[in-house]
This record gives sequence, C-alpha cells and structure tokens, in this order.
Amino acid sequence: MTGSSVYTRKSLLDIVEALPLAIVVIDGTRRVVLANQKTCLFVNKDEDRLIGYVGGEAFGCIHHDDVPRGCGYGKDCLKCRMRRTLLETLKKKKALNGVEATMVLKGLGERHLRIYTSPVRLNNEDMALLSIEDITEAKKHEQVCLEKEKLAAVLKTIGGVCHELNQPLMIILGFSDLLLEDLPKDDLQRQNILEIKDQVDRLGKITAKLMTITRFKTKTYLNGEIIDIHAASEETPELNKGKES
Amino acid sequence: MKKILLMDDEAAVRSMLKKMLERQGYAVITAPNGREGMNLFNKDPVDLVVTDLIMPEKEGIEVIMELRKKCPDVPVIAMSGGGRNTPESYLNAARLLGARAVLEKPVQKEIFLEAVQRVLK
Repeated sequence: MTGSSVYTRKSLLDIVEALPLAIVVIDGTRRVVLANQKTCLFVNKDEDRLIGYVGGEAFGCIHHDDVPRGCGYGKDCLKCRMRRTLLETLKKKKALNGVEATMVLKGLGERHLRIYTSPVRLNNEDMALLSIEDITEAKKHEQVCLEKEKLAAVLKTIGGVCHELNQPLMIILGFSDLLLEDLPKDDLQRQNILEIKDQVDRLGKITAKLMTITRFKTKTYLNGEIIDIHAASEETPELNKGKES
Repeated sequence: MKKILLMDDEAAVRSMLKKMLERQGYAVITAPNGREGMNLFNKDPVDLVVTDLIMPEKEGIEVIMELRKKCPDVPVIAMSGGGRNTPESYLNAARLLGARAVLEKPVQKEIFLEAVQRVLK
C-alpha cells in the first residue's frame, strides 16, 4: 500500500495510545517524534528520552555505540531489518507489514520483533509510523516445540533402527555360542569367536544406550560435533539380570 | 521332556534358539508370529512359551493376554529388541501382564538358558 495519511500530532497520539502495540513515529532523519506509553514501557524509558533520538539510540540498540556517528552507521546497521524497513517506508511511502527483526537491546537482551510500518504525514512532513510487536516469548516457545518435534522424530527413527539391529546382533551372538560349544576346548579359533562375541556385546550396549536418548547433547569430534550418546541418554536399569515377576 | 513353544518373526532367531534349547534337552516347536503360535498352542499345549513382542499378525503382548485368559499356569518369557519405544517399556508391559521373565535383545546364551530353567522349575 502506498500514500500517506495526514494527521495532526494530537489526532495521531490519540490513535496510537488506544492501540495495544508499542508505536512510534519516525521522521526523515529516523528520529523519534512521537511515542505512545506502550513504547515507553517496552524500552523502559520516559518519553523525553525517546523523542528526538535516532531509532537505535532511542530503543537502546547495543550497536548504537559501535561507531561515533551512532545508529545507522555501524557495520551491523547495514543488516538491521528495522532500519531497512523504515528507510523503505520513508523513501517509497509504502506500508510494510509483519517484517520480523531481531535486535539486541540494552537491559532487554535479544528481542525478536514483528514490525509494521506505514507512511504518514505529520505537520506537513513525510514520516513513518512504526508499530512493534515483541514476539520473543512466542519465538522461544516455537523453538522449544520445534526441538521437541525434531527429537520425537529422531527417537522414533533410533527406536526402529535399534530394533532392526538387535535382531542380527542376537543371531550372531547365539550362533557364536553354538560354534563355541561345537569346538574342542583347545581349538585356536575359540579366541576369535570370543572376540566376535565381545564386539557384539559392545554393539548391544550401544543400541541399548541409543534407545534411552531423551535429549540432544553433542560433543566435539575432530572438526565437528557428534551426538554424545552417554550424556544424551538416561540411565536405565539393566533388564537381563534374571528378573522374575 | 519339557516342551517349549518359541515365537519370533526372525527365522534365524528361531533356528538359533531352537538349537540352543534342544541341546539342553528341551523339545521345541516354533512359529513366526503370534497367530500361528497360538494355533500350535491350542492343538498341543506346552510347558513354556517364549515370545518376541513385536511380531506381525499377532504381537507378543496379545499372545500373553490370550494365554493369561486360557492357561494362566503356562509361564511366558518375553523378549524384545525395542521399536517405537525402548525395549524396557515393551518388556515392562509384558511383565505387568504376567510374563514370568523378560529379556532384552540381544540376550546372552547363559542368561537366556538360566531364565528358561528358572521359569520351568
């Protein structure tokens, strides 16, 4: 949508105070000219510490202090979606809705924001109205749900794979025992078969451990990371101890 | 001679355990799933049932439930290598339903034979 709505400061303030989001009006130099109470609450600042300040400084962006000229001139400012969205709205007089931006704010840490901008004309000057929705908690929740879904899918796969592996392991183990029974006590092959049995036992312990994985835990291996099955699994009692119920 | 019914969908597991048990002097009949296993059992009752838990057509859990109803005195040994859940969760279910011993695959010969002996006592 392009084109600006025309407001007086009073009429615009009446509207933005009635809305549930943090809303500011930014002029052509990206300075805050108007802020509602919800913005003050969001950034934990009084209105007089917002009005007249460039966006990044007003909101407390950590990158404002990166260079002497402040917000808009640092290396990270080139990637700032908040700045780019505002500039586009100011330049093209175009509304942009639902742009997601991440900012690290002093005292608030990393915040995930969903922003909406509209071109407005205030006191005969083209400006941008910026609405900010803090979606940090929703993003965290989304991430947790995603991790849970991923883990559940991985666990299902592991369960199926281990079940398939345990069958041949049992077969190798059992036939090794039958071979040992058939060989004379002094046969030189006995040691080799015992070694096969030891290795199958070892594999059995690994599949048992894999099936108790309950979380993602990785460890450094060479130049990358691999799943640490010992840290990611839960200790479970060994079943094959001749239990009787 | 004690007679054992062995159910497992893996032919090689059946053949290996059958040999192992026969060497100990047991008579063994085998079935590749719970349905065929129960058909054999209904024709010719046995002293012990050894069953895998995850099998096609009729699972080990169903076999245990059916046996508990029909012949509660026939002991059952359940074995599992896991699946969608850990072997422990399947085996716990089997134990709760009345399996006298539960074994997690891969199971060692000594442990398997000791369980068979103990349950048949």
